[in-house]
Amino acid sequence: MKQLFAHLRWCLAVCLLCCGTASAADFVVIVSAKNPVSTLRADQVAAIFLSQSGRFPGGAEAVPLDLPLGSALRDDFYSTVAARTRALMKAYWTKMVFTGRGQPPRELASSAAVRRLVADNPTMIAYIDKSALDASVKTIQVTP
Amino acid sequence: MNANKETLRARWLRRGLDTHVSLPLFALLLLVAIWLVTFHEIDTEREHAQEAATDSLQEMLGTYEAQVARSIDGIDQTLRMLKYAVERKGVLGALPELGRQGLLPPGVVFVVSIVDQNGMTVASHPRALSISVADQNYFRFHQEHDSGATFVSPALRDAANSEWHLHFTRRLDDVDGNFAGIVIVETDPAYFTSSYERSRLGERGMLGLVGTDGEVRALRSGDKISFGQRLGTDEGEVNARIGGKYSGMRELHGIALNVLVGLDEKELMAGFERQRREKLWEGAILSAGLLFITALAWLWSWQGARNRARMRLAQETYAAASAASLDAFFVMREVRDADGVITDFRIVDANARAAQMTGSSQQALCSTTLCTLIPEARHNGMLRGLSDVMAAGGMHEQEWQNTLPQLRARWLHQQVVAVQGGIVAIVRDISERKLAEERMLHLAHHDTLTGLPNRSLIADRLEHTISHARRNSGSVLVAFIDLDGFKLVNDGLGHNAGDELLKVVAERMSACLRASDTVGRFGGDEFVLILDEQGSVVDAAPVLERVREAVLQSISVSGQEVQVSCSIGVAVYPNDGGDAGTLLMNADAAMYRAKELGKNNIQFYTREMNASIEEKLVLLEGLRGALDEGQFRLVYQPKVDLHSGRVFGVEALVRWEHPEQGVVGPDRFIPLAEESGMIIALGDWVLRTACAQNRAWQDAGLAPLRISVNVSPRQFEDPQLVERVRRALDDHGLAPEWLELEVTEGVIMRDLQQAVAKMAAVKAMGVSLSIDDFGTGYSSLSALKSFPISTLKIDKSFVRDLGRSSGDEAIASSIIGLAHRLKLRVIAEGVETEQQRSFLRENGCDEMQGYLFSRPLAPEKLAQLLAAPEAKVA
Repeated sequence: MKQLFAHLRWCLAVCLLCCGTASAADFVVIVSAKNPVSTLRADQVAAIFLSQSGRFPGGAEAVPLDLPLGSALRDDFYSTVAARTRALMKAYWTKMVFTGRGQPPRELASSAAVRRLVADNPTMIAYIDKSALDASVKTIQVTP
Repeated sequence: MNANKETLRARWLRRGLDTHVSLPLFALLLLVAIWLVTFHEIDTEREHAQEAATDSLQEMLGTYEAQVARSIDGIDQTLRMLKYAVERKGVLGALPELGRQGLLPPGVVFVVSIVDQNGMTVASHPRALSISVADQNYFRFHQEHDSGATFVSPALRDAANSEWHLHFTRRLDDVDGNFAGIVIVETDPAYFTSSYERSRLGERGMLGLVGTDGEVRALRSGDKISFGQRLGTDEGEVNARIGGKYSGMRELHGIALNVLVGLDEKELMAGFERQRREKLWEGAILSAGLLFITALAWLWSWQGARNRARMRLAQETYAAASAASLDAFFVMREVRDADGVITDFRIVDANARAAQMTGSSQQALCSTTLCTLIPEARHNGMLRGLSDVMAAGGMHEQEWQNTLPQLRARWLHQQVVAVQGGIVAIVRDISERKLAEERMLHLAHHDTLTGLPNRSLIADRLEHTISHARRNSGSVLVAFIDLDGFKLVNDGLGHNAGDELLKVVAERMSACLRASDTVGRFGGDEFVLILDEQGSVVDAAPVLERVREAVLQSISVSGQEVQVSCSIGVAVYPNDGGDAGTLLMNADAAMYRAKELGKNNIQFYTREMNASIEEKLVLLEGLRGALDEGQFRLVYQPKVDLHSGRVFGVEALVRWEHPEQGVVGPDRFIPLAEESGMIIALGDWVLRTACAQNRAWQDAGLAPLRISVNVSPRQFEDPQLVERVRRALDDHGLAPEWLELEVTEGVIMRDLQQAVAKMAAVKAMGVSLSIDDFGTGYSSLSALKSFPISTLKIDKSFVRDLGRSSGDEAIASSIIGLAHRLKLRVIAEGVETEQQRSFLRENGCDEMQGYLFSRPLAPEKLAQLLAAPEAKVA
């Protein structure tokens, strides 16, 4: 059931992405062009961004990057990938930090800054505004 | 045996009691044990649960303390780092520098701010509105104190951050050590309670931070997060406030904070409570099961005990009944061979009577078998019979004559009842009963006096012999024997003499017979012979002759030699009758014929004989109504004084004017009346009529006469005789001296004493008595003298031959002489000739009656006779 809801939610998000009408901006998940990974499932992405996994499925180290707190794209990303609102994300990280099990990803000021950092670091993974996309990074296809 | 039984009984009783009492007791003990263990386990569980709760609390407290300490440490570190950065880079350069270095705490959790000495926030991460915090306690604290420590403020809200936050602050100093502002790390109070886990703390557990000032900085219980309330720092106080919870509080080092962990007792003990309930249920179910099983077992044992009691009662009843019984009881179990055939019976129980009957002891009997005890049982059908009873079931009864030496009884009655796996034989010694039966049978069929077969057995034997003869075409001879003169012996010498005579005669008759012949006493002095003849009747004649002669031999009874003869009538099967009744009747008729022909002879039946019998029957038939129909009349024969020739009295004689046969003489109907008992009524009628007649004559003016009335034996024996006589006299107004009763000497001799007494009573009335037919019977001459009589009458059989037979003359003159010596008068009857009269007169006889003077006359004729003057002289 929960799975079904996740799927529905994902479908909805994908629809939104494709149509590009409702949301202010569409995000894309990116890695360095040197990174061999090209496809990830949403839960795999979420695991990396929620500090639950430090590695790509292939075994390579994965370091996520965040956009600044309060950015719409960030909320959009987490609600899509991890099905968490901003408040839930805050509660999540509060607990993770307090219990010492993890730290939130490093924040960068803008999609461009993120893209630049990702481009140079094959270990990194991030989400950016679709408009900020260029060839220095590779878009990861996120499957449900 | 008795004591043994007692202990047996006691044992049974005890065992029954045991099971009855011990079972519930045992169950009770088990029940107590179950519940003791259950409660003990619950207690242990509770202790464990409490210990576990305490341990868990301590562990959580430790963990939480460590987490808080580390977080505070991190915050403190950040504050120090901020201070250092501010001191190095200035108020504005600090945060970017730290940001670059990645040393800023995650903005999602923490807000970092720098405040200048005027209380204005000059920088913050994440970026926030610049506000004044100059009024805030934490600012003033640092402004006033240079503590060098981190200050923890209660949860606050301000313009920059609308959510409640805890503020951790440190003082900034300028190079001179003056107050230069503060650095702040803010975080949501929920941060410190984010490690709250339902799995460990439940819905009502508690996790929180409490300032040493007693104010709560953060407190979470379930999903509810609160802060700002006062709670105190004393554990007891805290526990009281949060309501009986397990709680622990620890002070953090270097910062004015306590960590608080609380656990809800109910939640903590929920597992225990569940276990406790389970245990209680287990105990209850176990108890119920135990009670159920116990109840079943008890019921079972109770029923068993009841059955045993019932069986015991039955056994005791049986034992008592069989011990007291006069019947022998044998309880036997079958013994079968490999083929299932009953080969023997083992005796398992026997009573005292059984031991007595077999001449053994009860113990010995109970350890033996039927065939050991009675080896003959295998061959004489006893074993087979018992086996058959086993096979057929039910109860079988039989009587048998015992031939076994082992059983001490001649006749046995046995009841055999088949029971499960054996039989019960009830054997009764019926020897005595059988003996009595035999005796009774003998008595029923034999005459007690002579031991000869009686009437009923004779009839049986006769029937039997006839049917035998019928089959073999033989003949049967039936002889009816009547003793002649027996009555004389009986009357004259008494009944004992008569009995003795009969015995002797019976013996003599038996001695004359052949083996196949039968003699029986038919009654009185009558005997019957049954002679079974193969051939002709002629062969039987010598036997009959022998019998006649044997009887004729003189017999000595009561010291006197007497002689009797017998009259024998013979009827022969098949000529004279086809059945026993007819033969006997015809033999009887033949016997009467023999009597008529002068006695002491043998007559064979002829058909004519029945005619006289028929005549008798006709007479008897007529006799019944004769009195009522006035067919009797009296005639009167005058009695004459031999000396004066005067008529001084009359004898009343009865005549029967039969409507068909004319006048019937008394010799024909008096015996019939005597036999049938009608003589009483007839005699009374005669007596009364005679009295009435005599009175009538007197009233008619004739000279008074003494009237004589004959009294028959039966009449004389009538106890009311005296009364009847008195009444006859009174009713007709006749003076007693004008009545005379004539009694035969045989009547008197039957019972001398009573006869004398009766005669005395009659005499006392004034009535005269005379002895009739004197000389024909056996008179005791010695008794004669005591008789209150006035006259002897010489029987006409002596009178008849007077003048011809010297013997009769001698008797007559002797009687006259005897009477005169006894001062009695003598009258002779049946005087018919002048010769007889002259003899009597010469020999001194006083009176006479007879045809010579007058035949019996009707009353009016007699009156004429008396009225005529010539009547006076003979």
